[in-house]
Parts: sequence; C-alpha cells; structure tokens
Amino acid sequence: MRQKPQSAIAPLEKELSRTHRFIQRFLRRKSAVLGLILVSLVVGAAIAAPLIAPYSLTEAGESINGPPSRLHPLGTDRLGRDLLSRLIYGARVSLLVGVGARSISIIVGIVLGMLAGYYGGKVDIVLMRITDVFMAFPFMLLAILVVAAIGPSLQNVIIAVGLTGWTGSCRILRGEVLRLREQAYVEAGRVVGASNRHILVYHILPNLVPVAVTLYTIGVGTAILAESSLSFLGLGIQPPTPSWGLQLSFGQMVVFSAPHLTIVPSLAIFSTVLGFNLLGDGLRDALDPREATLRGQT
Amino acid sequence: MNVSALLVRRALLGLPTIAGIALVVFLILLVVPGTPADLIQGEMVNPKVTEALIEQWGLDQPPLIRLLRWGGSVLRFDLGRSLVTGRPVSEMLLPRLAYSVYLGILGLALGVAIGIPAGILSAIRPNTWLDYAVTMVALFGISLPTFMIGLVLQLTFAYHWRIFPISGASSSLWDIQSLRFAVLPALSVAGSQAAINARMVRTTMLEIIHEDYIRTARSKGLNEIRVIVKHALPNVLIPVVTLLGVYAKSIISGLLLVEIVFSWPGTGRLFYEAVLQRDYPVIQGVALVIAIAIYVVNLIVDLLYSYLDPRVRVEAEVQ
Repeated sequence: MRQKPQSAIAPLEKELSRTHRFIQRFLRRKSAVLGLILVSLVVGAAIAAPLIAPYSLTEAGESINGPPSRLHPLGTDRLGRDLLSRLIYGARVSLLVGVGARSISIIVGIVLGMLAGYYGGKVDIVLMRITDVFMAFPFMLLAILVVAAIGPSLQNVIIAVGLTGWTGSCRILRGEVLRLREQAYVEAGRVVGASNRHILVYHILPNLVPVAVTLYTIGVGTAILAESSLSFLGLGIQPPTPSWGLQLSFGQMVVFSAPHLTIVPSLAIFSTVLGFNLLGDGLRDALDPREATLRGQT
Repeated sequence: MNVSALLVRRALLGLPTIAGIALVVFLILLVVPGTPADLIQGEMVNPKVTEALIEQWGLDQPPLIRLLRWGGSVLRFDLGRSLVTGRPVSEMLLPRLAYSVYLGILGLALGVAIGIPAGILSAIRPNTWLDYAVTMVALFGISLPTFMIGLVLQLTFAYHWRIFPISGASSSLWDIQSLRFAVLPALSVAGSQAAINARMVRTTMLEIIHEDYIRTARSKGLNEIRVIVKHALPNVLIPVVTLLGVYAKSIISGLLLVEIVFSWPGTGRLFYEAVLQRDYPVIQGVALVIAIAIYVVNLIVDLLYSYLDPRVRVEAEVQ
C-alpha cells in the first residue's frame, strides 16, 4: 500500500530533477548566461519600447546626423530623429524578423525532416535531393531573388529569410528522426496498430522538441543578420520602419562624417546576434552534455 | 573502387544539383515582376516599344519554351546576351569572375593564415589569457556580419589612418597595386573564416593532443614545435578542409556584400545589379556560374580530403 503513491510521483520527480539538472548545466556556463542576458535586454527593449524610448519614432530634433549630445545620447539620424529611440524600436523589427523567419524555417524543417526520416526510401531521396539544391546555393543570393520576386517589405523579408533558411535544420532533424524511428516505443506503437500519423505526431514530434528549440535559437541570430544584410542592400525593410540594417545602410553613406550612425546600429546587431549564438550554444550543451565534453568545453 | 572512381561518382552526383539550382532560379524569376524594357527607354516610355522589346527577347513565350531554349544554349556554352547592355553574358561575367576568385582566394588564405595559428596557440595554452582572447575575438568574428567588418576596416584603415584605399580596384589584377586595393575587402571576407577555423582547430587540437601517437612523439624526445607541426597539424587540418566545402557558399554570400561595400567589380555585385535591373540572362548566367564554382570547390575539397586523410583512401579501396 505504501508503494503506490510513491510510484505515482516518481516520474514527476524524475522529470523535475531532469529540468533541474538542465538549468544547472546551463547556468554553469558563463557564456550561456551572458547570451541569456543579452537576449533578455533586447527582448525587454522591444517590449518596453514606448516606455523607455526618450522620443517618438518620428519626432525630429534640431540637428541632422548630429553627434551624441545630452539631449540625444546616441546622436540623431539623417532626418534629425533620435537614434537611441529608433534603435530601441528597431529591436522590435529585428526580433519580429528573427522569430517570424525562424518559425517558418523550423516548421518547414520539421515537416520535411520527419517525412524524409520516417518514411525513408524514395520520399527520403527526393526530399534530400531538394535540400541539397537549396544547400548548395548561397543563402544571400537566393534571398535577394525571393525578395525581388515578392517585393521588399517587412512581411516579405520574413518570408524570404524563412524560406531560404530551413535546409540545415531539416538535415539535422531528419537524422534525429532516423534515430528515434528505431526506438522501442515507436516500434511498440506500431505493434499496437498506431497509424504513421499518430506515431509521427505523438511519439516522434515531442522528442524532436529539444533539438528543434536549439536549432531555432541558433538560427534566430542568422535570420537577424540576413535581415540586416538585405535591408543594407535596400532590398529589405523599407523606410520609415526603424530597422537596424536600414539604419546601417543610410549610415554607410555618411560613414566618414558621422561614423556613429554606422557604429551604433552595428553594435546593436552584433550584440543581439552574439546573444542568440551564445544562448543557442548554451542550450545545446545543456541538453546534450556528452557533446559538450566532446567539444572540449568551448 | 579506388579514389578516382569515388571522385567521378561524386562529380556525377553533383551535376543534378547544379541543374536543380538553375531550375529553382528560373522558377523564382518567373514570379519576378517587370522587365528592363522601360529602363532602356529612359524618360519617354512607349508601350509599343516595350511590347516589341519583350517579343524580341522572347519573354512573351511560355515558360517551358523559355526554359528549354535557355538550357539548350547553355549546353552549347552560350549564356545569351544581356537585355540591358546587349553584350554576351559570358563576356560580362568572365572579368568579374576573375576579380571575385582573386578576392575569394585571398580572403580564404588570410582566414587560414590567421585562424589556424590562433587556434593552435589557444589549444596548447588552454585556459590562459591567450586562449580567452582568441575565443573572444573568434566569437566577435562569428557574430559580426562580413559587411560590418568591412565598414569598420574602412573606417579605421582607409579613413582614419589612410593606409589603404577606401574602395575600388585596380584595372589589372596582375600588378602589385591590385593587392593594396584587395587587402581590406579580403580581410573582411577572412574575418568569419578565421574565427570558424580558430574554433575548429582549437577543439580538434584539444582532442588529439592526448592521443597515443602524440605521446609517442613526445617521448621520442622530439621538441614541442616538431610534435605540433609534424604530428598534430595534419590531423587538425582535416576538419578545416571539410569545413571549406561547407563554407564555400557562405564565402560567396559574404563576397557579395563586401563587393558592394568596397565597390569591388566582382560577380556578386554583377548579380545584385542584374537583379535590380531585371536583367534575366545575366541573373541566370551568374547563378549558374556560382553554382558551378561551389561544385568545383567541393570536388577540390574531396580531393584534398582523401590526400590528407589516408583512412578515406583505404575505405575507398575496401569498397
């Protein structure tokens, strides 16, 4: 009788201690914590933008391309608008693109990866050949073409970056599915007559989540970089939306007379991307400690 | 099966990929709105002229016919003519390709020359300030996009200290002057490569430094430099070479932006300009050539790989 309540709690306890161990492993790495802090700062700025931005997005100051001053801590841009305020609002745009594009990529990656890995055979060959084609072509060139086809705008940049960035995750998730497919519980599911769809959705998909979350996080940085590159070329987000890449693109025209207009958005993009990279690395190592020791604890 | 047979197999497997890229580019271009017809006419746009131009270019034909026509002429080594300049695409492409390859190879060489020693240094002195410095700089290199490295270099070494020209390229690649123009763009390309190489080398080095054959080499009384260079380095190079194939396309993506920042007359800028002008034959031509370039790089990597890693050769022979 005494055994019963214990065994009911045991799985929960095991789950809790697993989460606990994960958090411990994550916090042990200073770089992962730094990544978390950087990402939290950017997310915080994006959410609280109207509260912390000293000026509105369109309010014009007295000087154009002005250097940092007491009124404008980071200076003003080509229309005399406060750079700090536009930088804070820019966090929203960058995060929106990062999260939006990455969501498209990871959904395409999961769906194609599951189909290829689970069904194998001809489905696998065809899907992997298609992935090969998209993998063998430079990302920027493809993204430029897609934007040229559907027109430059915030929404289309998300689509273009999302539709060109799924190949890597697809490959890795396929490998993961190949491994999961051979697990005893999947076989058990098949034995009791579960349909392929049921097995894919209820047995394989939940086990893909840890890997998918890591891939997602690492990819957000890349997507933000892609947005800034496209906007820098004038093929991304259009004015007056406060995109960091766009700020850089206008900053570059006056880079020698007003270098702060180039340096400040660069630093914003850099620290955001660095944050997501460190956070992703930290997540990966905390989820898979074996891999971490193999990689010499870098 | 020997190595050459394996390489031939790889070479043949790559061909459908190139065809696939050409097809994807063609399909996307079908959706791209607009033609250069209005652009050519300048201020006075005559709808009749536009119509005639579109007919002359064959853009009024059904997509399948256009695709087959283009494919057919490519097989005869003819990339067609630019819609904007009227010059053959190959004639426009070749000089640009030379500039891109020049910059790409220079960037790659710098990335290897900086990244490998940095990685080795930080691996043989792990957890010292040197190691941390290399790791930090490498993290910067990975998180900074190529064009931002370019802008920073431009600002520091061309504007502030005026050591190198701000942008542009010399008219010939064969004089020493061209190197002066190439230093900053090549460094921008090299930045992330060096960072990736340094991280890769450090990790690999830390793994193999404890292997038996390194201990044997040391116990034979060889000095440390000899142990590192003769015994460890060849094994460290294997992942670097493998990564080269993977990163060939990211180098080309980076080149595109660097060429724009530094006004370097390469294929990346040609592609960008062609997309803006809707110059379809040029876009398709450049895309095809870039796909082939990546394919060739990967074949070279396979060759180098089997040369560096005897296990690959043995496996190939066993198969």
